[in-house]
Amino acid sequence: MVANKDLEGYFMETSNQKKNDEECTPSVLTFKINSGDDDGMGDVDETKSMELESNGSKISVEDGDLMITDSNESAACSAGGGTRNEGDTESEVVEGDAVNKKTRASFKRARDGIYEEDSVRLNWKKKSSVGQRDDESIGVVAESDGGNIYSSQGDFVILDLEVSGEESACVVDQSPLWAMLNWLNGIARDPCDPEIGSLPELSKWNIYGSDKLWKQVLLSREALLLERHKTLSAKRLVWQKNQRMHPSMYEDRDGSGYKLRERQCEQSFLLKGSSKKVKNGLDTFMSVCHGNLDIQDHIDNNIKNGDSSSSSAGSLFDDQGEEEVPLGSEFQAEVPEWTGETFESDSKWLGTPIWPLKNTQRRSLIEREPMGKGRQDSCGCQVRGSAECVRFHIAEKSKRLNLELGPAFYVFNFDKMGEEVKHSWTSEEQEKFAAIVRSNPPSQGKCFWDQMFKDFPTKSRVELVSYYFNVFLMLRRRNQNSCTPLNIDSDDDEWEPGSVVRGVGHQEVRSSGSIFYSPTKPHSRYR
Amino acid sequence: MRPKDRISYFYDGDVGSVYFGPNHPMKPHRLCMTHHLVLSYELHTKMEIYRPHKAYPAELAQFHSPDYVEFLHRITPDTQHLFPNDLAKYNLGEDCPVFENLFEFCQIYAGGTIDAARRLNNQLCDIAINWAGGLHHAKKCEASGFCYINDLVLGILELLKYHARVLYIDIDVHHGDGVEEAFYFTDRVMTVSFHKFGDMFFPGTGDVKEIGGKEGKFYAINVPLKDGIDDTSFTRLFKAIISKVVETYQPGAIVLQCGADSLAGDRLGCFNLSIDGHSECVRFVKKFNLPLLVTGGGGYTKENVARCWVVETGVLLDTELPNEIPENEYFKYFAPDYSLKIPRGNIVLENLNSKSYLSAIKVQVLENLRNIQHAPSVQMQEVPPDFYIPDFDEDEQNPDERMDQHTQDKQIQRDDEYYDGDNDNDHNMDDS
Repeated sequence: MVANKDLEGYFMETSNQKKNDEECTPSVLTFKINSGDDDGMGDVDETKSMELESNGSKISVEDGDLMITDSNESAACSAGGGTRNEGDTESEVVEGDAVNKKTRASFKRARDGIYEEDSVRLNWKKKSSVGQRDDESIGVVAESDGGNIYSSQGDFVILDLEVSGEESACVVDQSPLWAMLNWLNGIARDPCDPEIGSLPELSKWNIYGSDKLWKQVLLSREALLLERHKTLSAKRLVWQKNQRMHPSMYEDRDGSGYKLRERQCEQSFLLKGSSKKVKNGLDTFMSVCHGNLDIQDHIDNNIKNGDSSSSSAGSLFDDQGEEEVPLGSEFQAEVPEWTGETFESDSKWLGTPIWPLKNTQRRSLIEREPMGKGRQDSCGCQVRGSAECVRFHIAEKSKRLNLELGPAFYVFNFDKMGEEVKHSWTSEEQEKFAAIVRSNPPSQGKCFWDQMFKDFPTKSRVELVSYYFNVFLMLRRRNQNSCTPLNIDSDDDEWEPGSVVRGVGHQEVRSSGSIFYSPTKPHSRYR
Repeated sequence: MRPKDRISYFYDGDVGSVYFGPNHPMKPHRLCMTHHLVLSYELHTKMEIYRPHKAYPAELAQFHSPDYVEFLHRITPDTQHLFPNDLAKYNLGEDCPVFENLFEFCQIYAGGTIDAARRLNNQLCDIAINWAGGLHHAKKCEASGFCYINDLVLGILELLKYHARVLYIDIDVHHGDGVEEAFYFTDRVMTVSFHKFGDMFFPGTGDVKEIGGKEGKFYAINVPLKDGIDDTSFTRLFKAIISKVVETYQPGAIVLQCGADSLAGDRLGCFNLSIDGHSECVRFVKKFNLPLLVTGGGGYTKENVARCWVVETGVLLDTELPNEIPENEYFKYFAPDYSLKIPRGNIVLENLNSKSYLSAIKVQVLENLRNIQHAPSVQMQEVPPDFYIPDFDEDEQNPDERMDQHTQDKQIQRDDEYYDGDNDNDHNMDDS
């Protein structure tokens, strides 16, 4: 039986949530298994549910069930649950030990009623119940369509989190956990016990809701694994101190996942889709949602890592490496075993030879320039380096290449390169092109191509793009060369001669998970 | 002395018309500029140039899920609004927009890498180049970071038909997550990536702790770096690690992704490498004399991309190029100096990678490498007879001389304050 406060399980709000009532930024929640009242089993009158949110995905627990909700719905949480111990009112983010053998044992001991202080970090949201903060524990329900998380936004979505009402800590009766723990215990003893039931196929895991015990176990495990990162970081700190490493080394590394979560809180990181890219520290959680981890494998790993004496640095981080990268047929390439025999190669599809020309294609013999020849210091022009000189040599080079390459010149589309392109454009057309670009600046959210395609019905898309790169941008570049030779950005679609040059850091605001996102480079300085 | 390498170079003129959209930093037009510069420097005289076939959907599905490939094939900018769920599922629409000729673009650059791999397999060349390829973020079932189809994975799968082990090296400023993930749990491919890590830099993975899993444990190497790394630090680290990797892993072929966003002044990158430093890595890898597949990758300042890859084409051809760029159609892009050197901007990047930090990374990586037995259970004949490990120390470079293992180890460990000998696991050594 559960000892009195020995095994604690309660939900506590985080300090983040306390601050913000209107908007519940994704925050980290400390979750402890709580034994509840003296009898260890609080009565559950109301529906208890808890939302576990991680990196935007939401998992709501209702009556011990876990359901993955579509996070596009705003998550409303209502209170409900068993009794709450005193002293639980404080919010606290406990960065306890990571999951390890000790924590795994905590499940077992929880069942046996041994107090375990390890806490599990979960993101969650809730809405407090009305009134009765002190006496009644508060649980959470999530309102949602209960739909499959994968249907909308790929791997996971982020809810627009709204918390209405007050928030407070709550205690949830652990009875839903007993079933789960029992199941876990049973499978640990005998994975093949038919009574326990078997897991369905890996690929089907995400179909199942959290009414399944194994599903609950998986999800809990993942949440616990998040905690493990913290512990390993702590351990690494110790090791690192012995190594006398530069402190900034571990700041970044152990913080990568952590900082992501933190920043998500700060930025109300709620954009759809973009959260996908911020998988770093929470891949484990997501992989559970994907149902890609093999539970037995993981238990094996834990045992292995817990027992093995790590004499080398590598073993400290083994597990994390494995957990970060999703495993499964949806992610890895199929690599056959090496048999030592090679395949009969497909001799087709080796590329069409373009150069060197076959003998029959050679049209004329010209004196070849030596390979790797650069620009010459002197030439026959009157003023070396003048616009005329440059233009002359460009044209000369083009002709030379044409002669030399023969048909290859056209295969490479060299005839559609450079200023040659503008020959097929009238000056009115060129003016019009420039005007359209000017009147549709990207900073106003406009895309000049829309108008471009409309206003030039006779020109193909390829022609327009070609003109843009070969003539229009070149002209801009030429102007930039003369106006601001030290600060050139030919890709600045808003540049006009005489305009203020945009600072280097300027760019559209992008979600932080995007490859576009580059935090300001604080370490650079202008000369 | 080994005869000159035969180089196969892949290019399709149609890439020039590919346009991701306004204000999108990925500009395939940079490939036109590169190609034009390659020819302006007359580098084609010693290369064979091929137009790749456009990869068939079935070939792309050798790695990617057929659903995803099919979706890429069918979706157009005009119809995309009808499939919001699928767009999200496949991560299209933001970083990876749907644009005109998207699928054709994928077919071209993937076809290039696949053809390159096949030519290498058939020993029709020693080095194959596909600057259009190297889109290393694409995943099996989704696009990512401007990458839709992972040509590198496809090329490696092709090479694996002929080689027991393939080494993948990635010097793009971003972590090569797509390739690493694809081969994370196998030992037939070792992935080594040098990249910026931290500050929520995309994609967020690539910590030194990611070392692979299951059979692939220790077969993924990640070298996370901070802003502003310079040539000296980078090349020193690169050579130390790569030489140990090749010695330990003994791959049959190498795939090198040369993303140019690790150069100074890149629009999205934050390193401080010059073209000399970047190309030094290419030079170093070439010296192993293994079948080598070279691809492009990131690179968002067009002019510098073109500069970098033309220099590296030269390196692969053992030709050093004069800095004076010859007059060509894109000449104006190279103002004001019209030189191969990256113009010095107004911004000076501070190198946040301390010596001790880099040392620690190296130590950790080399430590992990010790866990790999030499070429486990696979025939050694994959290694060509003239395989050797060059001296990585610039000061004492003698590429023709073979060094014994002891000397090699000594040199590798010279900077390494942590070990006295091979079996020293004492973590309490001083860092002096």
